[in-house]
Amino acid sequence: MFKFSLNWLRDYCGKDANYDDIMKKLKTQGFEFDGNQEVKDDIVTAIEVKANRPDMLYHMGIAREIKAFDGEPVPTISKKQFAVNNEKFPVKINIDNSVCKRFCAVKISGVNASAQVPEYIKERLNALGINSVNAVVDIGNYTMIDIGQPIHAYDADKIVGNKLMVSKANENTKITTFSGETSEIKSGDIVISDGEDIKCVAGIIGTDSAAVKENTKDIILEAAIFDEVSVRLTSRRLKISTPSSFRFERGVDADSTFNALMNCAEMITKICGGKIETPAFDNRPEKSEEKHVNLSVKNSNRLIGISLDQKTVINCLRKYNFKCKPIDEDLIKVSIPSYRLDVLKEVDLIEEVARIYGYDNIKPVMPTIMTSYHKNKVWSNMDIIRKTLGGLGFGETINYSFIPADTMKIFDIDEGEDIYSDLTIQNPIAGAYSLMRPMMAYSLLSCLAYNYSINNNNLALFELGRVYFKDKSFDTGVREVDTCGFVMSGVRIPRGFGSDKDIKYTYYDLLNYLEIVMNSFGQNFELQKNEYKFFEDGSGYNIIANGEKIGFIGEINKSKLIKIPNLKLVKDKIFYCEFYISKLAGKVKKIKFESKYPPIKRLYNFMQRRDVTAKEVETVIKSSSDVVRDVVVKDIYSDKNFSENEHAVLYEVNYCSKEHTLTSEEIEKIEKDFLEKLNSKFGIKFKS
Amino acid sequence: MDKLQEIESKKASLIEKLKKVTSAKEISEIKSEYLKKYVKSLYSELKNLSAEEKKSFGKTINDFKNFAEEKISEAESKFKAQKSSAKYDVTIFKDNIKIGAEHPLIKLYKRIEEVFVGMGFSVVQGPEIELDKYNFEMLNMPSHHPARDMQDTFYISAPNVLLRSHTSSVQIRAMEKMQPPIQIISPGTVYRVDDIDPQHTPMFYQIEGLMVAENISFANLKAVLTRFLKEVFGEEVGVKFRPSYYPYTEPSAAIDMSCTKCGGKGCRTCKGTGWITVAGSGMVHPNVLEGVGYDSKKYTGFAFGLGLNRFALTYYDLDEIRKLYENDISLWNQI
Repeated sequence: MFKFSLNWLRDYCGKDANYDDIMKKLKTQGFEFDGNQEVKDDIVTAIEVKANRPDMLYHMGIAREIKAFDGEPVPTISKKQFAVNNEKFPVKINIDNSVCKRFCAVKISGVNASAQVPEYIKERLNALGINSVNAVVDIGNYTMIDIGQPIHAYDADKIVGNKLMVSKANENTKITTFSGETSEIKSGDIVISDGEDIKCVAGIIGTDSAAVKENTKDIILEAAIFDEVSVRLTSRRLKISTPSSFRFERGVDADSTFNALMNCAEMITKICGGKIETPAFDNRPEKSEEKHVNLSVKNSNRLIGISLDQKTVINCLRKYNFKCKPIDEDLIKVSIPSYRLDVLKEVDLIEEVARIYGYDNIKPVMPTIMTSYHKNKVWSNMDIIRKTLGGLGFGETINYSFIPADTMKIFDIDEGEDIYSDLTIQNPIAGAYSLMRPMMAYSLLSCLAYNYSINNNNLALFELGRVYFKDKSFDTGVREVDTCGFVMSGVRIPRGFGSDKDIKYTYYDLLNYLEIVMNSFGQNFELQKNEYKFFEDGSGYNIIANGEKIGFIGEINKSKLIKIPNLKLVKDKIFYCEFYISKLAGKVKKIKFESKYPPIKRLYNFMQRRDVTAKEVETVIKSSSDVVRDVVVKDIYSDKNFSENEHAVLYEVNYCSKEHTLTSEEIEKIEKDFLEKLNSKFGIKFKS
Repeated sequence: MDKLQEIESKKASLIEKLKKVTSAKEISEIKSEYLKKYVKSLYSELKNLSAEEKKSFGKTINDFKNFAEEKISEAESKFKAQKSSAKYDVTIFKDNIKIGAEHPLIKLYKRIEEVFVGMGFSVVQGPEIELDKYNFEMLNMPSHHPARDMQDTFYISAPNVLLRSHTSSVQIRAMEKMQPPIQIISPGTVYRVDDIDPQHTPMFYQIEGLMVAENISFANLKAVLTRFLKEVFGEEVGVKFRPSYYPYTEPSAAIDMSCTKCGGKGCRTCKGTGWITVAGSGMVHPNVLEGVGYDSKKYTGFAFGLGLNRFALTYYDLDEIRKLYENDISLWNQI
């Protein structure tokens, strides 16, 4: 983001430059409006400047863009001829060329740092939120915001031994910054020091040690180009971001450094008096060379999807100060202005052509492309679940993937258990959002509880999302599993309309829903007891399919999970299921039975021991004859009068033959057979 | 004859009463008053009359009886007809059979997915916990690139393993596996460090897309994405492309759509501009194509990405972005 002053911009674009007009041009060229504010007789406007365009972080740069848009000559920094002799410069400066692309300096003696700063400078800096310090510092800042080169000034009298070193610090040192705060410089940070102490953290901030104060007489003025990455790393570590570091990180035009310095020096002498000492200092290890990039008009047209001729392309680029020379019918040799640090390759120029030609002028063309469509199995499995659970009344939720650090403790899951995890985020926003969840139970239970806390009671909820486990066999070191969780509690059907009491969710509803979901994939499964301690005793089961565990199911042990906020508000039993989506390998189910003869249904009310499962009873009944089509449990209940290890189970048996209509005699024969077996095997009797 | 006059006035009063009747009970009361009690009292008069008079008065009684029966049954049938037309109260909608609420992000996403799948895009997924390589480096964002600032990242183990800050990483993995022509969308959850407050969450839902083949152009990008926005938000929406910058595309374009809330007149949602930025897009940078082993001279392509959360807010009139992850089911039930 860059904030500019309208009055300042008018120095370049003319006093009458229209604000709305300026804004429109900037927007068209990709610099989005980000708010404005009226300050006295000025308008301060923020525009979005992306990382590739540091040349738009100062007024002259913005003026260039506007002028170019209008096809007018763009403003340039006025060139200053000044004697340079590094040997004879009053301060001996040693530079590590690997960290500093250019270092320019000049001495001004006899300045009055407490001179009055002209109002327009003060007002403009204030309008942009930059505090006035003293004349020298203010003029340095003004230069930076005007023409883009950060400037630093040292009090020459405080430089011990008339020498400066620009290099990486070789030890950790505490410094006090210009603004009075303490920071720690680490070995490797680029600093400017005189051997006694650090005078400046390169490109970021000056220290108090050689700061220009009101009583300063002689100054060394510096304009340099420091290594972008070093500035960025140090600035981030120190948590100090200054207008200067912001610009160095993105890049500063090294061709303008010396001129910018001399412009600034002249302005200082004009306002603060003093004399610019000859010679100046300029160290630039790599010679300045004009950058060239070849652009093929064919490539440009192909990528943009237009058909411009070479002349039009050249005209576009010339408007924006790119010098162009046709090489042949197609190729153009383009020389890049030194301030356009972002243009390095042909594609960068193609972007410029598109931008200058105007995105609005590029006509949309539907592509003709043939690719084969690949169905995403996990994704379509999710859609099936969504449809099924949604149809059953479950509301879809999306919860944070990170859960409290102590979740494993709350759920009493031990290291070594299959759903244990300690995969945490190093920089979480809070402890409550730090563990990458290895199960969805925490998320869905706290979501259920949250809903109860705002009076959304009697709920069935689900989520489709991921769980995460450490696993070295993946390149990320993490196995991510697409998972579905569902939870329900409270009343399923409220009383009224024929029901004389509330019908609540039961454990058997949970099994019912699980079976419906599995059936929607044609997925067979069985249940095996598990030992998860967050389930009520005897209610936890693993879901096994194709010989593999694909999930778990049970009644939540609420007293154990009391640490989940608001869970105590849920008074009814909570039923929970979680399963892994990618493991569902659905089969197409076939129609296996068809008969033109009518089925016959009979009900049997048995007293049976609790440890005898319905499945076992079904197997016996089915084994007695192949006309037994179905055995369905219609009800199950207990009574005070029953012995404790027994309950009553009502079965409906469906008989049907493919050959003929069954007679009662036939059925009675079958009945007699399985009743005897059930009695001898399990002691099952009719309920009296 | 007083009696005859009395009978006439009884007839009149019967008609009056039947007009005012409002329930079956009242009709049966009228029935007993006129057809039982009164007719009985008339018959009891007969014994005092001569044979001649008896004959004529008997006829009068019968006439009255017929008259009363006819009128009462008329009223009864009218009343019955009324009753049967109100057999059910169709203004009652009981709510004990429920369909599950849809999550707004998913609901909106599905509308978008439908359009892209219709255009031949396949849906691909990838890890949420990613390597720096896929999330940044191969997207032309080497370490210390200032563009990384835009995406403050969660780390599992810095600097290499992180929570993906966009689903572009999925596209890199897909390109490594597939050869052009390809057409994919990669939807999913992405993460950026942000505290939870009404307008911020550290997690959001993103959908990105990619088309790479020979001669795919910026003009194609404009056509596909304009079609998408018009399919989802209506033919009437305006769509604008303006220059922008993403390290992994060049040329890059931000996509603005006329504000769906005010229709482009300017409101709070669009900060008075009439436009809202809905997506980022651009031509895949040659560095990215070369990085996955494609010949960037032969193949070109475009990529785009959009976050759904802010979208869902305007789309469903939700006021706070964090509510998307609070899952207040009473809100989801309304959409």
